[in-house]
Amino acid sequence: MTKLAQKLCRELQSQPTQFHDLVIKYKNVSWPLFLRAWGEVRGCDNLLRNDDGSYSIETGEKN
Amino acid sequence: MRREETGFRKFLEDLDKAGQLTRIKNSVDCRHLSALGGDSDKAVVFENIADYPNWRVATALVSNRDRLAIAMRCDPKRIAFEFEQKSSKPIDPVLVNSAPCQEVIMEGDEVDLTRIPIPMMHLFDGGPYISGTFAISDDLNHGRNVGCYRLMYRSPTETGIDLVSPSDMRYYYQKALDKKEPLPIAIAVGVHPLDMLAASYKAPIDVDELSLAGGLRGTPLELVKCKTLDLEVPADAELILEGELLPIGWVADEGPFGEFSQISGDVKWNPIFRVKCITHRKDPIFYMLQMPWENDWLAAPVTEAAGLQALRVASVQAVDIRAPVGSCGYWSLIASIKKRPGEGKNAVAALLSVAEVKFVIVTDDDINIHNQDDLDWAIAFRVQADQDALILKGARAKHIDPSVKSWLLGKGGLPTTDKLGIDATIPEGVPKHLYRRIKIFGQDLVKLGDLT
Ligand SMILES: Cc1cc2nc3c(=O)[nH]c(=O)nc-3n(C[C@H](O)[C@H](O)[C@H](O)COP(=O)(O)O)c2cc1C
Repeated sequence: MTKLAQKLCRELQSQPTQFHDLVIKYKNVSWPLFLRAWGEVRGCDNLLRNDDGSYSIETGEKN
Repeated sequence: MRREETGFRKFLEDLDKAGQLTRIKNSVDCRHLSALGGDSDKAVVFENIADYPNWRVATALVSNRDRLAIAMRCDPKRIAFEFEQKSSKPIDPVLVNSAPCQEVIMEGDEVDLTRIPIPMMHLFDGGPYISGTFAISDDLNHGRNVGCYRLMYRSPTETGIDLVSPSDMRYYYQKALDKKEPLPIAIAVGVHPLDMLAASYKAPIDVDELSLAGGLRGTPLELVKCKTLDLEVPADAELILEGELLPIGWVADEGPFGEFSQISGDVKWNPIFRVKCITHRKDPIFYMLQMPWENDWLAAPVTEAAGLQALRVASVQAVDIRAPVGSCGYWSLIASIKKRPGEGKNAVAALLSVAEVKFVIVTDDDINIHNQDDLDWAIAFRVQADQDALILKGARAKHIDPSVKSWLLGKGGLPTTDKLGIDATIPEGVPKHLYRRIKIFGQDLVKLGDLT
């Protein structure tokens, strides 16, 4: 996984996030690079969609 | 010799000639295309896309009635009539050997959707979207089919596709899925708005929408064989995605997306489109169909034409008809008619039968239905609620309308709706002279402009 994809994964592990919030946060990354990284994130088995449309990644850790 | 342009590029030329196109030379990021396009009251071509040196992006081509009329080559008030007349005279497509849409080919490992300037369109969208597609599929029994289906970027080789609503392509997909086979499809992006109109028309399953597109254009569509599929695509398109809908069923998240209902929708569960080959022009123009306006203006003539047909079957003479864009070109119909006694009600009943239209107004032919003040006047003085309002209970509805509360229905439940029709024609028995409008004395004799 690229560094950028890893960063995006960490964002989604820490809290449910709307796609547009990721786009805003990484606005300085070139669009094709961002899209490629997002493609990697989408490949994660534990990527979840929430009712409000946000994305999150389940870590398996219990609080 | 320069090939004479047809289709999408010809339409851009037509908009330019009509003073309806702005060309932006500054470098624009894909994340800003949607906002900038929405800021313009004209159609826009972005000539310089950051990180996509060979690409341009066009948007807002048919975002209002006037621009749709340019596509249709008719008066803005005659679009429905023109659409109805031309769609009754289909012209079969012809096959050509080489095509602009195949000047550049990416196959196998080269396939990479990130090399296309797929824009970020709306807040809350589940990803970047390809909003203006012309999706072609085929079936042994029913033949070729075309529809418009949005695509959500997932990865360099995959997109989501919204295949939730009943449609011919959904039916083709279900058939393939039953056999555990993928459904090959080809997506053209950057075709003439009339082709999009033909594709979005709910034609009977055995009708070839490509012939319908030929009828609307008044000339046969030129098709070229796909590079990797046994399908044909419009030769003059800008971009083609060849691939297949995977036989996985409705399991992949897709959406939300800024829907044609002007609402940011829900996450839906849908199939996945795997792209196996990308072809495009050497200097391609990506089409970012502006939601909801272009979708709604493409819906309006189809709803209006269905209204005209319903009135004809009811033997009512239609004078004008309008599916207002405020109700997305889909949920309301307003018509004026040349009325014989009782026909106000016949017309209301006929129009309420059209698809998911849930609000109808019918008035007389002295009312300009494009003028809201005129319409309000007719409603104020020609309507008695107990006699002229018709409510039809429990008719078919669309999930997307929040007022039908489809979330209460459970999975697979189909919603219903109550419909309202208003007969705003002059009531039977009321003398016409009671509706004589004020006319200023001498207004045909003198003009203020002549006094300076
Ligand atoms: C711009 C545009 C986008 C559309 N997107 C979708 C879509 O994503 N999913 C869908 O089911 N219908 C969509 N529609 C409506 C279908 O294209 C329409 O119902 C069409 O008749 C379907 O064709 P088919 O039944 O021949 O397959 C869209 C229409 C337009 C004009």
